[in-house]
Parts: sequence; structure tokens; C-alpha cells
Amino acid sequence: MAFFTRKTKLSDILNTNLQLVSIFPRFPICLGFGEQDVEQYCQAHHISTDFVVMVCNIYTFPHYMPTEEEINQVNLKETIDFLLESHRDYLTDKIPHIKQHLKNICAQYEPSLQKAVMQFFENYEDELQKHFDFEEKNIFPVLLDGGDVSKQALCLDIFDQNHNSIKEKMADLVNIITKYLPQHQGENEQICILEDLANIIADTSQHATLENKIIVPYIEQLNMMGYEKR
Amino acid sequence: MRKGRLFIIEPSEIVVKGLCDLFDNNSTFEIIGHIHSLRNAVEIVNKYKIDILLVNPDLFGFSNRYSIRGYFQECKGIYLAALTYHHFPQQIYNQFDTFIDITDNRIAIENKLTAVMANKKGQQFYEESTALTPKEQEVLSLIAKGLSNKEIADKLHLSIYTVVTHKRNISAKTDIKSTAGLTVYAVLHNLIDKNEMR
Repeated sequence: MAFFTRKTKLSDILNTNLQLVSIFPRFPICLGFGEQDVEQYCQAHHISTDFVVMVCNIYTFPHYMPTEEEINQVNLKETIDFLLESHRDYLTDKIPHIKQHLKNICAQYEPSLQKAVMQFFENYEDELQKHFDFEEKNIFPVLLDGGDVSKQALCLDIFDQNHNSIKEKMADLVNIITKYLPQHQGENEQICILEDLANIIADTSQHATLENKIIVPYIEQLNMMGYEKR
Repeated sequence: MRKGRLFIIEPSEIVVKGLCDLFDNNSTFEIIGHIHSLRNAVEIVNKYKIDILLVNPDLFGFSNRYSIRGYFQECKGIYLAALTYHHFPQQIYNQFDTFIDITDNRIAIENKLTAVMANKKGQQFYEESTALTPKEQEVLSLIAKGLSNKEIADKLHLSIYTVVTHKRNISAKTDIKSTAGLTVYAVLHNLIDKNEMR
């Protein structure tokens, strides 16, 4: 299937990948766009068309890789605003929602199990918060003012480690719920939380992909330039 | 002593040639045939008298790779060995009597195949059960109490390396990798006293 372009209708994008409906508010694109294509909507709302097209492609097509030229065209501030908006969405909406489900599930368990499960989840929340803080304090500002390049090679490693560890914890939680937690009266709550987890795993993994396909090449380019200067 | 007879199903000609080279005249095994795809594989294999069939699980694709044992059910009296370039989920290994990895050297390969012929389980990989051993349970209870690798090693008089190996095996068996996740498992299986959680 062909990648999305500036002339793709927003409704066609959602028909291809309905999951993007939760990503649209982060641009922000609001529903009710009728027959408008990406370009028409973005120009009317002062959003970068190229950026929206690129993000929708990254979230939808695993083999899509933006070219160096496309990356250079993207406004870095816009990318970072989008990532910040995603962070806010996870922390204030998605994660608390999952936590509430988990609390409901745990309510029937004995206190020590409740404590262990909730500790596990809070541990995950902490790690997520710390990772976002790391990006927001150590990486994004440096990128925005094109600061000290030499330290950023190190950043990339931490970046990667954090992403893997966060992914691992989510996979652990899915396994704990599906394989080990005692049956809840009426499995509804468990099914709901697994659906939510599937969504957030897909969302965060694409969020990481977005960072890997835009931010990481950007840092690498900066590093190359740094080496050439030296 | 007669040589063990091997048959290879492997797409890569380079790998097949490499194996043929390894099992030369001095080896206790001989390769009596090879094919590069699964086309008519069962019929071809049945024409030969084979001890061990080496198969690359990747040939089965993602959706059929859990039914490899069933695919060869008509090949009676043959041991199945996986020929792997990369790691597979435990359930894939469980279908095989042994596995040979691309990075194994001649001695490791011969040892694994010899163990299979002697009907011994040479590697932890063939353990059908995912139940934790008493030692693993002991290590897990200490992980859940929040002890570091070093503290666990000191307490159980093991090397850190052994503790790490136990941890890896525990994670492989339970499908849980993080410490906090393993703590939940330990509580669920009564491996830890309620008051001992940090």
C-alpha cells in the first residue's frame, strides 16, 4: 500500500489506521474534518503538513523510513512539541486509566498481593516519568539550541536502554495478568485492561519508533557535524 | 561403532557446506543428504535411514513454527534438531530434541548430537516443564526481598555468574523479566513472607 501524502484525505488516513484517532489531538487535529486532505486542514489550522504526513506514515507503515531530506524539512520544535504532548497524554490520561483498572482487579486480592502488584505498577510509572524527564531535560533542550554535541552520543545509549526497559515491564504486566493473577469474578475488568495495555504498548512503541526515526538521525547528523568540525 | 546419520533441511547453501565440512571423515557423524526447502520433505526423509534430522525452524514461517513436531510425525524413530541463527521462543525449542546454533563450534555440536543419540537431555532447553527448581525458587525469593546479585551470591554461597544464570532461567520459565514483576510472581506462589517485602 502507498504511503500517505499531503493530498491524502484525513478520513482515508483514519480508515487505514483507526488507531491514529488517539494521536490526532496531539497535533492537534480535531474530528469533523469532512472531505479535507492533510494539506487543506493543516494550512487552515497552521500545522506543518509535512510533519503530520510523516508521523501518520511512521505510525502506520513499519517499513516507512523518512529520508534525510524529509527529516531536515521537519521543524524540530514541532516534533518536540508533539512528543511532549504525547508524554502528557500518557501520564495524565492513559496510565492513570490503566492504574484504575489494575486497582479494581486487585481489590479482591489479599493485601500482600495487592501491594506487590501496585508496587510493580508504580515502579513502572516512576521509570516512565524518569525517562520523560530525561528526554525533556537532557535531550530536547540541547537539540533545540543545537548545544554541546559531544555529550549526545552517550544520550543515545541511555535513550535505547530506557525504551527497552519500559517495553519489558509492559510485557511483564501482560504476562502476569494473562498467566498468573487469579481469575477475577467476571473477566471483564481483565479484558479491558489487556485491551488498554495492547493500545499503550503499540502507542509507546511507535512513539519510540518516531524518536528513533527523527530524533536519533538528527542527533547522529549533529554528531557527524561535530566530528567534522574537530 | 557406526556413525550417526544426519539429514539437513536448511535453505542456506553456505551453512550446509559448512556442516558437511565439519562432519568429515574423523567425525562420529555423517551427513547422508540435505535439501534446501520443505518441498516433499517428509517423503524424502523417509527414503533414508536417518538418526537425526537437522531443521531450520525459520523454514516454517511465523504461523507454522509451533507445529514442526507434528509436521514430521510420520518420520518415525528420528530425533529432531533445530538449526538456529537466532533465538526462538521456548515453545519452539520444546519441539526439538536438541538445537545447534550457528555460533556453536565442532565440539559443542558433536556433544549435543551425541547426547541426543544417547537419549540424554543435554541442555536445559529441553525441559518440558516450566516449574522452577528448588534452587531457582530460593534465588527468586531473595530477588523478591530486594537483594542484589552480590547479596544473593554471598547468602547462597554461589558465584555472581551462577546467580545471573539462575535469574535468566527464572525469567525464561516465567516470561517475567523485571525484578518488580518477579516479586509479584513470588508473592503469588507463596515464595516470600508477606512481611519480608521491601
